[in-house]
Amino acid sequence: MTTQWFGERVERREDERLVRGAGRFLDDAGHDALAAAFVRSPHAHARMTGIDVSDALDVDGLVAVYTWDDLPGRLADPLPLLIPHPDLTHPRTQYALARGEVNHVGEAVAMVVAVDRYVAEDAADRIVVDYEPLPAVVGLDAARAGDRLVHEDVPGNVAAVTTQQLGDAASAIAVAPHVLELDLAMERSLSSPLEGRGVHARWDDEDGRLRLRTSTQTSTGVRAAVANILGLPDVAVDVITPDVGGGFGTKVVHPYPEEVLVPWAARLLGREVKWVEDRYEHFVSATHERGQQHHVRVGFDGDGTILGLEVDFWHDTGAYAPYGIVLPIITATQLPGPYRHRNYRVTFTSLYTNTVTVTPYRGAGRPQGCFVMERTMDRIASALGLGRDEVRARNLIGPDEFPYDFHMTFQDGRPLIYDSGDYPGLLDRVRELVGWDDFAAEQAAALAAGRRLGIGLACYVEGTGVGPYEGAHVHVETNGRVMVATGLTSQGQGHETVFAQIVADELGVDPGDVYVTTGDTRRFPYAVGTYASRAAVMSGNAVALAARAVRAKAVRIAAEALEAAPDDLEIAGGVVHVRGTPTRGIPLSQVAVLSNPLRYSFSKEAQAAGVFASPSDPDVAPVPDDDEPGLEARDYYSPVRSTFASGMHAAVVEVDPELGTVAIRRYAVVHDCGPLINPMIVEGQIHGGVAQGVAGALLERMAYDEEGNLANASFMDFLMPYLSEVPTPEIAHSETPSPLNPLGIKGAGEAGVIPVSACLAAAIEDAVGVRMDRMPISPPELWVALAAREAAG
Amino acid sequence: MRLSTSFPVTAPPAVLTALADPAQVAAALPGCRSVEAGANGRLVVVLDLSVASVSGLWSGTVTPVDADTVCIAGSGAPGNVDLTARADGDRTRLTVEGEVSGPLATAGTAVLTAAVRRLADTLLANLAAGSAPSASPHSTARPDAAPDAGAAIRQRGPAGAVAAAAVVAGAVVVVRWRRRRSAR
Repeated sequence: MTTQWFGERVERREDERLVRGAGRFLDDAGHDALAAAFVRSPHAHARMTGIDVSDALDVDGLVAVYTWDDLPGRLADPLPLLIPHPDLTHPRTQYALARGEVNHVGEAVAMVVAVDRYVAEDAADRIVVDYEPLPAVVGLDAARAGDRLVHEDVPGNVAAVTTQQLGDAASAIAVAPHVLELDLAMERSLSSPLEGRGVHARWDDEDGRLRLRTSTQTSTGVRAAVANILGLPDVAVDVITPDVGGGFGTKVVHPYPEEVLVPWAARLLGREVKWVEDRYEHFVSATHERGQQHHVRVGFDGDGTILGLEVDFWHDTGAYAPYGIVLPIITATQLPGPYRHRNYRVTFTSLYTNTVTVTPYRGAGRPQGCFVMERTMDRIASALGLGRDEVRARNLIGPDEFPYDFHMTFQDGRPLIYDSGDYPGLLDRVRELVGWDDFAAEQAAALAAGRRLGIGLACYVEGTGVGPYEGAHVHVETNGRVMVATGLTSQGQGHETVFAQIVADELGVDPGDVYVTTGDTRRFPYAVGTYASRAAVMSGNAVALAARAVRAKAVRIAAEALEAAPDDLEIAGGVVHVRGTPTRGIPLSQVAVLSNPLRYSFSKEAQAAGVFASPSDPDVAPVPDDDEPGLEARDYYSPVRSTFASGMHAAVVEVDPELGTVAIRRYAVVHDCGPLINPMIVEGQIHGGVAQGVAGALLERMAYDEEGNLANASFMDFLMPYLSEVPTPEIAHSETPSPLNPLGIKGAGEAGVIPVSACLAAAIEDAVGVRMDRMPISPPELWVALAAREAAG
Repeated sequence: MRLSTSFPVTAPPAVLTALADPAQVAAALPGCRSVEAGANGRLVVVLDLSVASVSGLWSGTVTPVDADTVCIAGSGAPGNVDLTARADGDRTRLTVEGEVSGPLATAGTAVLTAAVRRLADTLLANLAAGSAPSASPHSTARPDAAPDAGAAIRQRGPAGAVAAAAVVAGAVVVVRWRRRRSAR
């Protein structure tokens, strides 16, 4: 009986090299490459009237300085609009190098190439750019006011206005026994991966090929854009993703200006060119996310049942909108959560500001939507004097109500239909895990001792496994190795491990014999990318399907060689054998040999496939019409729509009213992403997500001043959490399989971050009775709110 | 690559006279290897040309077109140059336009523009000073560089770039380039 690898806590293959410092990150190669550095705008909004590089000429080792004037063909056009949408009436994307105007601090104005980064920076420092500052539009209030414009031809700074609805919310609210209105906001943050962006390009003149290494979440996306923009055939461009030290969304944007400019310069100069982002650059030119303001009207009855919900919100898309309106669409369609809505209208306005471009950061609009829905539920409970868990329970979609159709369109362009889940079950488990029922007593005892504890609860539903597709190639080589390739990328998710587990199960081999490559267009050229908690669902299913096809072929070939019926064969330990007779079998490596008829035998084992090795049917060709040589297969998985994971978090916090600090005493996570391929990896994903969620609730914000200067563009002032701030969550898993894919799995990458702000806001409010309508909350802000409340009596 | 730049210059009568003397002009720009007179006022020039990281031997012709304009055309390891230089505004501005290709062009228009300006400024300043620059091929070319900046540059290695041709009214211009020893 073969071991089942799916569901096992297999140690990660990646870890050995990563922990030993043998990872191959972008900056580990290309030591002889020329270095690029960028002159970036110091103004949030300005016209550029001239550039003078005279002083830079004296810098020994300078190779070139490029501005927009040097860019040929499509490189001189605005960068691609990645996700158009009919409602995106005023899409704007940046130029690779600013063309006469800059729209955020950090926008790339000129590229300097030199013998190394030190020299390039010295030269960049000496370049003088003439600017005429223009009024800057910073923050949603200023954007909405519309008296100053980011883009001259975008009235009111409005990129898009969209409405989606279910039923008739306005009428339902009009006749509801109770109505509440609230305003809720979340501030901007950014991905801030440990490793920033980087691009390394080599143009091979002899072969006419471009080899591009980039720290990206989508190698195929970069390849398509670069080939198109530089006017190269797709097949002449190889994009290889190295080990990536975190992406978290910002690295799925493509092409960043650097991703087209560096390969262009490499080809022009006939030299390798490399650019590695520094931390300041990440703050001012890698994309941000989260800034939104929301207005809610909710109608409900006396037992807390929601009758109608209207949400209007405003999304800050920054200076440009390459990602279109996907982010606010996600907020709009994920806001409903696990609740039985019948009447829901959501309208959002996406506004430009003179700040860094906004694209998804782990959670991608869901944290905001969850914050809005969950704070509303808490408010309803408070208004009615009911338990916060009670009100939620009353509204939860029941296990027998699936599929639940919202009659809205999700971020993948497909219908928003929840496929499976057990929300009441999650609520019971999280209440038990955090000790919800006993907390009142705990809180009272603490208060008597002068301590302020509070408990909060937040629920979410997350659309995962977003299409259009992913593919995989599985190949058993004659040396017995199983080589697997899939086109999407890895930034620490453990893909080399989980995909090997899946293939090991399908093929009856050990995961240690399975070698997985991701994000290399040479190995697999059709893919979309890693984002939206989709890799396990998409590539996991694709490798399973490809491996199944390989298995079928192996069994067919082995059946002929063993003179047995295919149905009587099974594969274990890498050997295809007759069921019940383990000695009568052929190793997969030998099956691979037999799959490829040879004239020239390159080894002793290969002789078995020689033309004189065994009798052949004179009327059947060595490779029949419907067959191909080799023990390999390629297959794709394309979902009809997304599959919906879900979860609930509960937290106990302690507030120090004298300092305004918040300490997390307990953190409970109940989580449903269907069957788990590797529970250890899923827990790691949850830990990481919770860490980023805590950061977003208590620490991280972008401090833009009125002129659009980013005051905290470094880790001195942008507060990332330490281990002391992040709790180790207690995790319980629930599993409702997905009916939508062969493996029945759902995504898990972003779940940990989605409800954290909502959960902690609720807990803080419960501890000290101050309304938490806006996150993050810092100690000074909480202290001021407490003081104000005390002063008001 | 297309080059197009226009900038103010100072060319008092003494300088204009000096520009008419090939020997004076050759001495005013380091890097020049030889100047030979051709027909119709044309000059054939060979020089060591260095801009950013591009350097090498370059030869070309400087041909007067009219009282205010010359054509400069030539080629070499650094690349090909095909420029027109014209004095405007009663000889208070110099406009240089044309095509540059080869390795020189890979340095970018901003670099070439700055190099052209610097060359013109250097040439005219040296002519106005009335004496040739030091015979050392390694002295800095910046006419108005602060001493400290110049010293700092020299400490990094032999001085940097001096760029391509410039022209002033009625006379031919000889371009002389400084050999730049790369430190790497």
